[in-house]
This record gives sequence, C-alpha cells and structure tokens, in this order.
Amino acid sequence: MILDEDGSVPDLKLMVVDDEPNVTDTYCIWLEDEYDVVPTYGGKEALEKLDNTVDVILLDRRMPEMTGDEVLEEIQERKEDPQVIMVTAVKPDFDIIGLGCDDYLVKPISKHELFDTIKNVVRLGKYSGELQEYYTLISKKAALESEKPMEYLDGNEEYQELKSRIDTLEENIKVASQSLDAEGFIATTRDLMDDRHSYQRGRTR
Amino acid sequence: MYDVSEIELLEPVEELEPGTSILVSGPPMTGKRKLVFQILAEGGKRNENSIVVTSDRSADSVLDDYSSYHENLDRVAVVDCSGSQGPERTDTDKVGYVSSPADLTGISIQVSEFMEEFRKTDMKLRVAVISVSTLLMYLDIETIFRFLHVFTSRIQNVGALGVFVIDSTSIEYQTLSTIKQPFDGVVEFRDNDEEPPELRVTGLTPQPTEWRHAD
Repeated sequence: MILDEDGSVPDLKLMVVDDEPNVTDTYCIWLEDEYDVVPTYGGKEALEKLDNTVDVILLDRRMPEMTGDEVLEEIQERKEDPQVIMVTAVKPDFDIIGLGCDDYLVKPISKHELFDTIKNVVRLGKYSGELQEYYTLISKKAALESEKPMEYLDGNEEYQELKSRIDTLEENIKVASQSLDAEGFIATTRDLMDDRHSYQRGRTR
Repeated sequence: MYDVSEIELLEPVEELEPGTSILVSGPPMTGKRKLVFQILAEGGKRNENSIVVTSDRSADSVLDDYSSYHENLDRVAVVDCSGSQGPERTDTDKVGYVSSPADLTGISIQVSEFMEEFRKTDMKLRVAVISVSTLLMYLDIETIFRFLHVFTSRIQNVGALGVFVIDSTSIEYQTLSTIKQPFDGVVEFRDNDEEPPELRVTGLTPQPTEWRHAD
C-alpha cells in the first residue's frame, strides 16, 4: 500500500461490522469523509460482502448471531487478507492479536482513537511488507557481491538501483519501527509466520 | 544507561545505551552463555528486570544457571519454548511456556506480557534469547531475520537491553552476516587451538577491539 506524501491513506476501503445499526452508522458517518466505507450489521453479512478490495475491517467482538472471533477465524482461512481491528467491551489479552487481529479498540471509542488506530494498522501492514522486501533485496545484493567483482558492480545499473532501493527501505523501516508497540510486535510476528505458511503451501503445490 | 563495567569480557565497554541489542556469536563451549548470564546478573544486582527466552534448555535449568551468578530470582522471567516440559505445562508468575521454538507468535505474546508486567515496576529490563540457532533449526532464515528485526525494534522502543546468542558453527558464514544486521553490536568468540578461546567486540566501541583471550 502506498501512502500519500502527507502520510494519509488514499482510497482505503473500510468495512464496519456491528450488530447495532446505530453503532455501525455512527462509525460510518465519522469515516466516510476520508475513506470508502462499507457498513454491515452482522458477521454473516460482513463475510458475504468481504472481497479483496477491503483493506481494513472494524469488527465488533460481541455479536449475537456470529461473534467477532468466529468472523476473524473465517477471515483467517480465506484468501482475502484485510487488516482487522477488533472492537471489544473490555481490554483483551495479547492472545487476541495472536488469533489474527492487528489491533483492538475498547468501547466506547472516540473518533480520534478510531482514526489513530486505522492509521496505525495501515502503517503496520506497510512496515511488514517492507521488511519482507528488504530481506529479499539484501539477499540478492549479497549474492551479487559474492558472484561478481566490485569493479563490475560499481558500473552495473541493476546493482546500483538495488542499493538505492535498499537505502530507501532501510529508512522507511527505521521510521516505522519506532512506533512499534506490543500489539504491533505480536501482529508483525504473526504476519511473518503467516507468510511462511503460504510460502510452504505454494512450494508443495 | 546499562552498566556492564564489571564484565571483563566486554572491556572496554562500560555501559550500553537503552535500546541496544547485541549478538553473541561463536562455536560451542567458548563462553557465550557465561557472558549472557553475566550481563543479566549485572542487571539483577542493580534491581533491574530480566526476561530470558530459552529454546534449548528448560526454564528450571535457566533459573538454576542464573542463580549461580545472582541469587535473587525475583526479577527474572523465563519464556520457555524448549518444549522440554510437555505441551500441558501451565504458565506461572515467572515462567511462560510456548509449545515449540517454531511458534514465534507465541514467543512474542509471552515476551510482551512480561514486558508489560515489568514496565509497571519502572525498572530497566535486560532481555536474552538463548539461542537463535535453535530457532533456525525450525524456521527458515528469512522468517528469523524478520523476527529478529521486529524483536530488536521492540527492545529499542521499550529502552531495554537485548542479548541474543547464536552458535556460529551451526550456520553458513553468509547467513551469519545477514543475521547480524539488526544488531547494534556483536561479541564474537572463536576457538584457538590449544589456547583458551578468543573474543572481540564490534559495533559497541568506535573501533572493533583486537582478538584477545576470553578467560
């Protein structure tokens, strides 16, 4: 995901899931100025409407028909990979992040908190992706360096581009990692474990 | 600042800035583990907290080792992912169990819980991981690299001191140089034929130290 220069998130699509219609609608009114919003009023409806254009889901944990945890579990098994912010009545354990949500909000939520948390999970997703790209590029760079003499690499355009991309990533990662909180630490770790599983699945297919 | 002035192995380093993470690398039986416990115990003497993530020995064995450097275990927590206690072992105040070294998410949860607990005491925190080599037996280098990056960032954000151990004979040279990347400094041990092992410190002083006896 690419951020605008002012750090805001362009064209972000957000799904709101809460069984109380006035709660869903309130969040949507707050959010619709900045984001593309999809209001839903229950877990089943949310799962039906979820596709890979949805970037972030704001998911109420306690819902009668299907709980937030159940919705989360199903999202984990699907190919769509939205970031999930769980909305809970009481402060949850860190385990909830291990289950697959990226952050949580404790009711009642202020507009300010909501925007902050959305920005935070988007930043986290970007950080995680950049960390992955960073590893790929530094491995590539190390391989080139072991294969080719330095005089050759100095004049090689591909190698120079690689180096400058690595520098940019390093800077971005450094900035992003400075706001890594406990939830971010766990969510990013879970994320890199998930990548590993999908890689292994891809390899055995 | 984290005081390490009493630790001869780290000379001439006297103190380390909050947020620093160091990698201790070398062959087996060269003194890596001893150095880690010395670093933790120096914290213990100053009422600082410690978290030890152990992947190759049980929590009991870690606490036992720690107590031979510093008797008071009140401020030590262990995250045991060695699997040596069986899957059903229940967490205690001071020990959190993770089913296997391959469960990095579980490790991050347990570490975060102890970090939050210790942050309430407002005292400094030293974190050790013994060892990264075991994690590499279960997981690929990319996964471990990314994990170390995130883990050391978290250590930096809470202003803790991180010490990670790796057996340099268990991995290729190129893997080791990639693994070093997220760390601020490295303490390298090496075998030295009939003589005692040698060590040098890089990244923590303006110039790397010379190789010297590690006894």
